[in-house]
Amino acid sequence: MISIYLHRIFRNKLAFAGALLMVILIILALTAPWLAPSHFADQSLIDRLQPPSGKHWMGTDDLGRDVFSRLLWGTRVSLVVAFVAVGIATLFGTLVGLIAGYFGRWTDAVLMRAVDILLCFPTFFLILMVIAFLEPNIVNVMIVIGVTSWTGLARLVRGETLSLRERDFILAARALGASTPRILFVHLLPNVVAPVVVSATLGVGGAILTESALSFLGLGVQPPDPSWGNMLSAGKDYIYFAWWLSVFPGLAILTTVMAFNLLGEGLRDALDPRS
Amino acid sequence: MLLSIKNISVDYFRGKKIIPALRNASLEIAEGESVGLVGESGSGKSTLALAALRLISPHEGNITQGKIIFQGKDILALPEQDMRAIRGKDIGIIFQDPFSSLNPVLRIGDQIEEAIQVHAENKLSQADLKKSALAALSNARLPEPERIYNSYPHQVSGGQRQRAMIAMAIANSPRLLIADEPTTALDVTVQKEILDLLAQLRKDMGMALILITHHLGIVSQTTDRIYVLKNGEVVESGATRSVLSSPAHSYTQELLRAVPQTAKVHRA
Repeated sequence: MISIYLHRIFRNKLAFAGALLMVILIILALTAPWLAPSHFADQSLIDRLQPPSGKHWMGTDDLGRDVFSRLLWGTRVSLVVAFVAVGIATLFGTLVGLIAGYFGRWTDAVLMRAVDILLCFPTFFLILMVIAFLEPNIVNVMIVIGVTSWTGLARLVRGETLSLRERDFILAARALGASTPRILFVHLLPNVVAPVVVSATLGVGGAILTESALSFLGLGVQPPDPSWGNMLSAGKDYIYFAWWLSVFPGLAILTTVMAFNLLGEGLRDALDPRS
Repeated sequence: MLLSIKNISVDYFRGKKIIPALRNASLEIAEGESVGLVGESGSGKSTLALAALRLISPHEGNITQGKIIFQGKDILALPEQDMRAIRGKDIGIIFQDPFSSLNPVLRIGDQIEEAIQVHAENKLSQADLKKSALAALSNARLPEPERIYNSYPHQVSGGQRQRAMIAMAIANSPRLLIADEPTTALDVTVQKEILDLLAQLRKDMGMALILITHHLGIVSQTTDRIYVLKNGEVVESGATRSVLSSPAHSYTQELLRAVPQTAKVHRA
């Protein structure tokens, strides 16, 4: 079964490109300390605002730090924030969706009204508000992005569960004496994995964008820790004469978000039973 | 009596409307006995089976009156945990459609092992579980149990799937097996094999069997007594042979006439 899906993903060239890019990004993130020519915080004031050259592939910033090195270290930050945030959202969304869909009636009504209320708030301003009260740092950013982005998935999983719970195999499992947690996690969960995986992959792209936007506004990852968002933010003051400070982090965000979106859509096609 | 159902009434909810599915239905079955439950679609046959296992979901309907006694235990008064211990252990059930009664994303072996583990007192080792699952598969007369064990439901045929369902239902040697239209979704050639298998298993394991069907030809061959249901009421019951040879109720006569000529209905 899994081999069929793998085959389908590899046949889809764009999805394959997305998967390849994702693997490369993860490798870059893991090996950043050894790959980067210098530490992200190493300053050299003599080499301030140097354009790209053989020595500094992507130039240097206003403090003489190597942009390429900071970008590599930034990969770590961006991916970790995105993965953890999506992990939280997936856990929350799946659990709420399963419970609401399986128990129905008032459990469903209460949980789904809570989701409706959360959806009424513009997510980004909700995040801004929460961050304004908390200290802006990596951990808080991850948690806040995570707990504000599970609603869509909860609805998706609830819908799937609603139709799955009427299927005979759920009745058969109950007739064999399976307990409710067993039915939820052994019988229902594996059947909703496909949409959850797709949603999580697409969610990673969204989380990277949100993190970049927050960091750009100075409410996300704090300097000197490099994140693509705060690099963009620092570069904007020099955009007219030091283009490399904005272009490279911008390209990094673009490529990464695109990679996850392509992979997500490829997975959606591959996991769709109708195709 | 192994199981006695007394004056059971069941209502289903459809939105705000309440639809009666069973009215004052009673059924009794002794240890080792084979009982048929016949009637057209919607007559309440399956509802009776689900009620016996207390499997009617609270959002779909409820049992409004009556008493169900299984092995001396009042089924309707049991706590959920004790009820779970009976389901799949003392009472096994097979459903009509083997295509939808197996979880599509779990291997058949895993599903049978689950049925065994759920009712085991201790955590069984993987090797023991596999041994029991393979034994259940061979008891259901499945050729190549090892292959079926490793297969997903969509990889095996309809007849094999129904045998796998039977393997799950008998894995814990239940005292009562309820077969809800076990052959309706299958090819005619496979139907007889499945019925023969059920009859054989009943004999070998000394189980009681409730066979639910709309096909009188099937009950005439495999059951000692039958109950005829219509619109949620038991309209006739008695020894299979006498009910079929001299039906008292007009509905039973109607059902008998509905049997195609080629089916051999025993009219001794």
